Amino acid sequence: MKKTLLMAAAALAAGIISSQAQPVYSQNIVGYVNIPVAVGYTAMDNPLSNNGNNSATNLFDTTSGANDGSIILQWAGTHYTQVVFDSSKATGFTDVGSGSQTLTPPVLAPGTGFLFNNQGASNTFTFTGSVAVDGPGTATNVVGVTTNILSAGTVYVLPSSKIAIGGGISSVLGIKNVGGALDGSIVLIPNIINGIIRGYTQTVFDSSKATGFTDIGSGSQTLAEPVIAVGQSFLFSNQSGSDYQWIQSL
Amino acid sequence: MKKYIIATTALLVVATSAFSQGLVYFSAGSSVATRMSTNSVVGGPSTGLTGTTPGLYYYALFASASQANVNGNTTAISGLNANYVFNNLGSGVPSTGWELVGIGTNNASSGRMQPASQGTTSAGQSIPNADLSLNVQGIAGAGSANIVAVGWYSPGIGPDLASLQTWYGAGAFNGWIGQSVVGNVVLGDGGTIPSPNVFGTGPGQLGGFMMGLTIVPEPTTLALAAFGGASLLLFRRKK
Repeated sequence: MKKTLLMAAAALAAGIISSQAQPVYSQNIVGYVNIPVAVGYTAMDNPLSNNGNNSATNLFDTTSGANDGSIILQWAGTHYTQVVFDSSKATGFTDVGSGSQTLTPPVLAPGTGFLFNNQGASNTFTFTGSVAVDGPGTATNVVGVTTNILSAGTVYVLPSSKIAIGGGISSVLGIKNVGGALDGSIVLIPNIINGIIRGYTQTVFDSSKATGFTDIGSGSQTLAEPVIAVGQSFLFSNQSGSDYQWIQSL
Repeated sequence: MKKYIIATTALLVVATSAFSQGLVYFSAGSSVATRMSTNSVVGGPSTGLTGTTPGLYYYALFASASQANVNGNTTAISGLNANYVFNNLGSGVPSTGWELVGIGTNNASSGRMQPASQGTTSAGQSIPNADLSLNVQGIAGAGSANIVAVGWYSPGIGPDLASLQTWYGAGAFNGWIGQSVVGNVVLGDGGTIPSPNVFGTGPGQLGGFMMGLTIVPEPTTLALAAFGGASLLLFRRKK
């Protein structure tokens, strides 16, 4: 999945202002991200914070009817919940079961993945906003940090990078298997063929392998590090026994 | 011993397939391309969407793991036609034929419908699942299912599959009926494989379809009926 990240504006006054009693950091790294959305399913996320208001109404066209029938699916711990674009409803969304209810638009914050079932033509969505930053940087040349908690309380979670970057899940995105703590945890990337989810490609964290990853079938193979594109989400099964603090620095 | 093992294995396979079930949604109309319409003359084109009075139109959904067409046909049909799925069920089970999944009906929005019940027989219908999804009996979640839907105007026919079959078998006079294309979806498993809506514009999904007028009695037949009625009235007055 080819993604284009175009950061349009410069970082403004991103450093800590030392004259203040409390550290102050800037979130003024703004821009936009283009994400191709083919017909059928795409595992994606909202890669930028839309001024803190990430209601789907602010991210997608819900009024013209262009997205009518398309579906946003969010992970609910054990299954997906689905809301359908419907411009005839006051909120722009209805239920998939009957198509008669008026539903609250889902909130799609950076770091939380979702599936988009595109019922229209193949398209490119443009997300605009600020790079999500949860707190000030703690090292030199670090603007800020984000924290995404990958819960161990459910078998799967559906996260994405809070920061709009793509690459190796450990080497670039920063899910680090320190001391083998994540050994046995699984990254599941949906196999989307002709727009339909046909199972998942599963890769297991294994600190005993040279790459740090093995296969789920035998646990004997050495697999390449999974690569997650900008704006892409994935299922993650945290087998560490406790919540994992996925901290990313910007 | 070998025969015993083979027989046991075969039984297990049958038992597994019999109890397996995937999930689908059965609602239409959120997008224009999935809305239902009717015509006004036999064989004529669509003249408008179904109306806004709920419960006038009914829809039956069928699934099969083995049949990719209905009597050789995969396209949408309407009016009188030899290729309706309820007349070509085969064994009636997904492994070798078409099986009823559930029944839907139109709601208060023009051209739209939603599920009303689920079950594999006309008499054995029960309420849909809590999220209004329907169970596809005999095909497991994440499994591939061929699907087809039939719709009809219920006044004069009835709201269930048995009454539809009876009406059609008796000549199918004065009614509207149609059938969707034959589609194919991957069934939801209630977990990581999401439940699909059978209606949509994506690969394998069903579009909205037209229900066509069937047979209308010829004018001479109507005239004869009118003449007969008038004669009866005259006869009653003379008495």
